[in-house]
Amino acid sequence: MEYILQTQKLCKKYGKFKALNDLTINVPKGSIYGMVGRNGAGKTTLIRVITGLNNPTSGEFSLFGVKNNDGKLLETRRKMGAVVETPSLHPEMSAKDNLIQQTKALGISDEKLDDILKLVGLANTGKKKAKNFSLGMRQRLGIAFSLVGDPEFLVLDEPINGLDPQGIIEVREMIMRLNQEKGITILISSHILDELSRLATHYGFIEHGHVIKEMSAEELDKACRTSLHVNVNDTNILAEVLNGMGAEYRLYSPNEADIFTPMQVTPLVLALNEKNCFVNTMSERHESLESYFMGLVGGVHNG
Amino acid sequence: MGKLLAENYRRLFKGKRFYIVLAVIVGVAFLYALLFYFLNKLASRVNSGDLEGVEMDMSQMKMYADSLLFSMKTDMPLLIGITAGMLIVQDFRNNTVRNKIIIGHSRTNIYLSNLIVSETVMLIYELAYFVAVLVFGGIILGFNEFPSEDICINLLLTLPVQMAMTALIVFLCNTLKNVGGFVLAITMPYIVNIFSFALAFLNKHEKAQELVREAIPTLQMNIIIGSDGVPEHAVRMVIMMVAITIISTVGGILLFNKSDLK
Repeated sequence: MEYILQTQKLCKKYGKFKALNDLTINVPKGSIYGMVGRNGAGKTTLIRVITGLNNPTSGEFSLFGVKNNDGKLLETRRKMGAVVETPSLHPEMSAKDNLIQQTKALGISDEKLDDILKLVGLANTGKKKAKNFSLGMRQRLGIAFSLVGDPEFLVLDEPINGLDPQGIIEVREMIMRLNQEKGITILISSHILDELSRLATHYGFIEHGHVIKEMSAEELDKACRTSLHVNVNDTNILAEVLNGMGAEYRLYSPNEADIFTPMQVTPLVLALNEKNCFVNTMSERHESLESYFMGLVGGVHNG
Repeated sequence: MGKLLAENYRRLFKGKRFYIVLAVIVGVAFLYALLFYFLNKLASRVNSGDLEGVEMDMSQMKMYADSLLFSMKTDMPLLIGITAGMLIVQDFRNNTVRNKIIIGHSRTNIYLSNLIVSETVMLIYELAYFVAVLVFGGIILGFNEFPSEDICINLLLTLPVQMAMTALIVFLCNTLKNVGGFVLAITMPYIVNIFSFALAFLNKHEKAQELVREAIPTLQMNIIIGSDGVPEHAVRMVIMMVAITIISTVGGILLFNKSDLK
């Protein structure tokens, strides 16, 4: 398999804090690689390191097969586009003027800019200054910035943050189009795991600056278990009963829980009934990316 | 590098700040000339006894445009800083510097392009002021000695000083990356002037005092402005300013290469 980005035992320290700790990921060519992790897990730090904004403390990475200590890396970065956290824009300029700035920095003509603005849905913004854009418009302009150089590899850090539902759908469709029609490899980090699960073909689960699991979407699908989702009047009693049965479960709220161990429903309901715990609803569920992630980082009881 | 310069120059010339400061510089030259003209008028009225009750000897007072040539020299770093310093700081504040790094521009080139653009701003502003003084000063006041060799050499000597000051502005703005850096950059000459009294501590070491005066751009500018002829150590003074430009640039590049960006 050909990889666009590979990191090997990448470390980044800020003082004594290890933001990246022996982080190793492999982003296959043509994939949409979803980075999943909590706040402060190291996703943005990784993006900053690979985009050249931060220098790694130790370890190495290669972009398009070029190592980070190779002089050719700067040239290789030309094939890359990125939006890191908040979009980087010139607030006093219009959308098109902003993109013209990037064509100057790239040394290319500005003939494709109208197409890019159309692609991100900003074709009709005219002379409106970027400082007057909504958050969603800024996000999309940020993505447009990253597309100016016709990148083969796109890095998007929380691209749907702050977008309204319509904006989220538009950005999702745009990312899919870029990947499927233009063959752009995309590395994307997002807190909205449900959204990420609709896009990603590969996943990297990050915790405490370390990749705890890497897998393809197919592998995730197989690994995601079926659970019994129950709504009861007291999950403390439910936990007590399930502990007695040696079952694996996860509590979400005082009323909701998922049970992963296959079991007969009647004995459970009866056991709960004896302890004055009443079952309101019960349904079978396929484990989501979110619950799989929670299981990985340690949310499962009796697991 | 050419691409970075194209990007930076476009940003510079598209913004209003560059033109506002340029207008201020031309306006100041005009106002100075006008002020000197009215002072000359006042002096001639006093000398002819037109003003009753005023008994002053103003016979020696005749203002020419020659002195105007140096009037803005000490304030020029403030104006250069407002345009060039803010251009750099805004690149960091808006995080647009990221867009250049992500697409593979080296930090060394980014720093150098900032320096080149800032030095261009300095040259344009210096030229604008010079032309404005030639035009307004020449028409309203007339010149006495200019273009004498000494004045021309001294005018040229101010350029390495401004070049060093501009390099320090770029260093501070690029290193601190925030408005604090910008404020420090534009107030730097005034701070140095305030603390120049500390040179009195070197009164027993005349040579050291002289070297310090020549080595600090603000103080060297004072030497040039206050000099009747060409300063004695003109060549040494130029070398010092070139050295400051080079050292601050190399230091700035090293720090920028090591720093982490947001």
